[in-house]
Amino acid sequence: MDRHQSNLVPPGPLSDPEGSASSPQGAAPDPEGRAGNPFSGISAPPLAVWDELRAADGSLRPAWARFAELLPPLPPGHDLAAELERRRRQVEERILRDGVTHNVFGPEGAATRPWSVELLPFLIAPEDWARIEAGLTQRASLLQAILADLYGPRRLLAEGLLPPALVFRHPGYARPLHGVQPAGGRHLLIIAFDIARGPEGGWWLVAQRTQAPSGLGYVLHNRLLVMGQFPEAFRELRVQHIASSYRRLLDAMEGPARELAGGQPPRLALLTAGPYGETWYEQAYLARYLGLTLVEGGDLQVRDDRLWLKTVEGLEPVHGLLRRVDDDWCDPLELRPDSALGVPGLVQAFRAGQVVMANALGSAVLESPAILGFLPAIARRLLDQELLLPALPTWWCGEPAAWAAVKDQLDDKRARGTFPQGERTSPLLAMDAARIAVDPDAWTIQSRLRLSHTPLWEGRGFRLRPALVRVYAIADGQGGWQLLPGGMTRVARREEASVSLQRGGTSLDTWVLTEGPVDPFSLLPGKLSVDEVRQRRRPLSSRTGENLFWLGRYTERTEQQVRLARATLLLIADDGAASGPLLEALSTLGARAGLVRVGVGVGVPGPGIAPRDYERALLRGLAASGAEVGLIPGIPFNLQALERVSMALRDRLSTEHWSLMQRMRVIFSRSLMPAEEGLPVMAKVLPALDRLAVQLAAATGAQSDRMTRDLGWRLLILGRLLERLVGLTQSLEVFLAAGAQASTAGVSHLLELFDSTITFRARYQGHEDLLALADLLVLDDTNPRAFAGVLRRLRTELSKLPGAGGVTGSAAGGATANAISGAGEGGAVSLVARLPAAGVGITLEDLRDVDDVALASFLGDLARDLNQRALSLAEAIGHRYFALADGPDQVQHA
Amino acid sequence: MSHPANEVVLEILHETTYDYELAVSLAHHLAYLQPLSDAHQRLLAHELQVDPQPARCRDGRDVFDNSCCYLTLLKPHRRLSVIARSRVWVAPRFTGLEPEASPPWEAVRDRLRYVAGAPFDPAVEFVQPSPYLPRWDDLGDYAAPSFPPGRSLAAGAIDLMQRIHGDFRYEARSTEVDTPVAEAFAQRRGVCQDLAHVMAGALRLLGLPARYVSGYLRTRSAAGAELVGADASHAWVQVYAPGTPGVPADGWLDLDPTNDIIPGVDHVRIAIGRDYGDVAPLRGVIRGGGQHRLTVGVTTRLAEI
Repeated sequence: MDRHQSNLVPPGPLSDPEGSASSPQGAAPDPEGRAGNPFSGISAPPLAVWDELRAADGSLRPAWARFAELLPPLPPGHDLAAELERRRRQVEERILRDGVTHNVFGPEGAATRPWSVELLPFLIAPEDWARIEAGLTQRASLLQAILADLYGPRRLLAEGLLPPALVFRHPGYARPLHGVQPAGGRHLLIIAFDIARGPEGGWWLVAQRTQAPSGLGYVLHNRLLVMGQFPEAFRELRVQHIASSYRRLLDAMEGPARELAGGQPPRLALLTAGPYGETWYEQAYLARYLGLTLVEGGDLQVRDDRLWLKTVEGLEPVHGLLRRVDDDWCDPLELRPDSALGVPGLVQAFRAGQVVMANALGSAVLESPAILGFLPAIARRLLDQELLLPALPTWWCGEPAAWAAVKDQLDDKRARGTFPQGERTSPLLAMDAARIAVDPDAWTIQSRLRLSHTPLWEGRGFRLRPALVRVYAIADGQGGWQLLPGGMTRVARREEASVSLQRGGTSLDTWVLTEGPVDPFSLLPGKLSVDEVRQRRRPLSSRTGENLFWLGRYTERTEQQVRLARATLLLIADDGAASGPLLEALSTLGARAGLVRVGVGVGVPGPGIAPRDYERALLRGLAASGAEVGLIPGIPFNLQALERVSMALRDRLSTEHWSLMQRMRVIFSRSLMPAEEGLPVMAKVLPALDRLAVQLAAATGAQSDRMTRDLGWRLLILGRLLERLVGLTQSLEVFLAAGAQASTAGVSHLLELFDSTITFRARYQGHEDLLALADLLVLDDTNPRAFAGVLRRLRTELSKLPGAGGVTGSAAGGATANAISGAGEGGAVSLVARLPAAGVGITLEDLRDVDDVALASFLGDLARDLNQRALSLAEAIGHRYFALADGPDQVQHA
Repeated sequence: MSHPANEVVLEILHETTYDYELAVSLAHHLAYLQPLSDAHQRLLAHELQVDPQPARCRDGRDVFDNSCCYLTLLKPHRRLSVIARSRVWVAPRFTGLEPEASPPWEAVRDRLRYVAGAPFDPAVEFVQPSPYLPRWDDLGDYAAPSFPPGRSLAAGAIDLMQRIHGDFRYEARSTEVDTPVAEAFAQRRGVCQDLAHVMAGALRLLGLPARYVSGYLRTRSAAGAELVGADASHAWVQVYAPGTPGVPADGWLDLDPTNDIIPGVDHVRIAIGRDYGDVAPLRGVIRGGGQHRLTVGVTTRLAEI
């Protein structure tokens, strides 16, 4: 262990402007100077703060001593600092690669920020965990009992144990659910508790989250990352595994949901607020891990008091929701009318006992910090027990006696809003008692806790930081509770800063050590029944289907535009080679594709007249950023669309694929830098386009080879094929109209756009006849980019769509499918029947004895016709499978 | 402010029509169109006619014991018509009212303050801010002159009603259903719903419980006067004045700031809640529909016997 010693000690205590005042001791000397303590150089925590790492005599606490011993041996020539730094970087890279993010809302709007995980875990010793577990499972039972009373007999109100204002003024109190028993009988299936350790080493409850607690996905992902960095320590310290807790949560929902499903395996879904929510990544991650369908409010409908998911195959029943949408946003009909996130009628389904919810609607009322102060008396009344784990001393100002007792001693306390929509928590107490007195009900005073400090690796050395631990209680099938043995520890990056991820904190994996055996459970234990296997094939929601369809379309469209941009730039650069018609054709295509801004107000002359101006316009289009992107549908626009669509598909795409789609826009725009006069230099542009083309090829490769051939994949491929047909027919039509195919350069460019150069040159060896072009680019169904080739694949994939071969609107699923497809949109024409029955409708034989002029005109008409068919087919698919026509829900009052 | 002592039977026809620009494919509505029944008002007959025929139509009772009806439409439609016909017997609710003999307003306010272990008065729910009536301190300042120290509660509330009637201009269609109370207050004008909100909000800021009443008003009063607000559904306020001579045992005193009257047999109560949002006559969430046009017509008249 000696080898650890020399390089571990950071050069000195890191400067910490915020922390220096509260750390009068400065750096503590290595208490024993003994070798083998890698933490020996670390500063002491501020006075009156519990040190998670060391006991009062400076020796490491047992768990950390073991952890230090179990650090892996170093390769020769490495020091520990370098090794830890290497691992920290590994964690960081993995986060970027997996695309783990956290959306942060600030004054400038929302921003996606990479999730932050520390290298070191937070350690909880077995005896501490036993106390926490006893205290919090007791509190979980109490909270369930309170909700049952509030929505039932209201004894707590009648007996004055709970102030009415805390219930009646709280927006999370769901009046429409008064007197309603939730399906399965329990309001709460999961509760998050934020706890922390005070100066004396005791644990305190700081806050509780009862409606839609976040973090379970991050907990999993953190575990995956950190465990892998310290495998020996993880094993030898007997860190409890967490997988069975997730299984338990599923069981708690599946039990009652199975009854609703008539004994069949029930369908459970995770209700999300969508890709723009704060914790979208973890919701998608959790849904995938638990095998739940990820749905937004708009994907669901209530009919006959039952909940249905709109899928591309019709309506599918949903029996349970793990929800991540706040209570009052869940149903615009009976709860908040301005909510666009909810499901109209959900309250009715819930009231009818037709949907299991984790947690029940109306649970948020317990999140008020003011409640904490009343819990001891309520525990005596409802459980006949004293609470085992204390909450921070809390005073609700609406109780005159409490306010009188606390109002002259505010200095060491903080004020929090009693209600979520009330005033913000004032971060540090510079409180104005008069302000509280105006509306005392809205304020709650809480003692401040000096949080215990835990070690972090911060690049050059270790630092101690204040930690807040979020743990989860999960209902078991017997009416009791168990804690997930782990959790999410959050630390502030600065001393005294509030521990909030919204404010730039970071998170730690949380290791609960045990002296007993470790539960080896993994989420996929034992054998699955046929029903369970079937169940795990998740249905494809219409929204996801639509996103996949557009993923295919945008990918293809971007590929075409890259090819076009490249061809145009090369042609302009090569002054002499350009014929008039070719330039005209390319500029027409460029204008239609939105590569350049031509027309009103901008007035870019054609490339034939002012090639340099045209080139600048094209470069400007490629480099569009910010608000400009929305103005023209060029490459940046499409890359942005890809980013958006794939964001919503986080749970459907492989990590590599997803991450590529997320990064392409940024990589492309960065690779155009540096710019001159706001325009990228030509030397950068072509390589940037080439790199983008390679990435797009990788993306389509991932789509072609690595995705399961399910309905979702089929919609993606259909999107790509239709877009290809739209683009290629347009290219040919425009070339023919301009006569650009008559020159060698024109033929080359046309072949380039069809990606068919090599085959053409090999097959026709120097000939550039229009008939040869017609054969390879239109008629040859073995060429994946010929019209006939695209049409052949389209017919194959279309025929495999549910109900596509039959009559629109009455296929698949009978009455229900009929009801959702709208009234006869698309008429009685099957989707396949919108295409020529075979080939492109003509054969090579039909072109015998046709001269070039007639042939050009004939091919032009054919291209135009197929272009229209492709567009109308795309629209028909939308109507049939995604019901685009309906738009969002509207609320109305009379 | 005299009340005709005679009880009456009123007939109400309440028609609501939505015309949609595009087909609505799925709709959930919640109707509060059935007048309540109690000692002073009895529903003799009621009929709800919905076109097109809903896939589901179910009666319910809300947390305040109001009758409501859930309507679900699953077939595409471009027009929705809801016609409620009611026949209601109405008797005067307040006889021998002595506002000056009401308890001092501070006594009611203080009684509702939370003290650990003290008995619970359900009226306290109606002191709290609610979605359409968030706390807004200007309303409290406005109410204050009507409630000097020791003023009897009912007298203060009637004074407030008179002031609102004097200060505000009733203007049909001057506000939308979701106009915030602050805006109506600043403009000093609105429809009956706004005036009721202003008054209820003002009372609550003083710590006094106030409820929102959705109902109907006879087009021509029993006394022969034209009343305002009869062409649509009407709204007024109840203030909690327990122990006031002439107020029923439940303690709630009705006050109509739009007409500056204490409702007698010209007013029919449909439903009572914290604010408009709890008891809107017809609220709905539709999928599809595009733009819509709403037509509402109400006729309230003496029944022909």
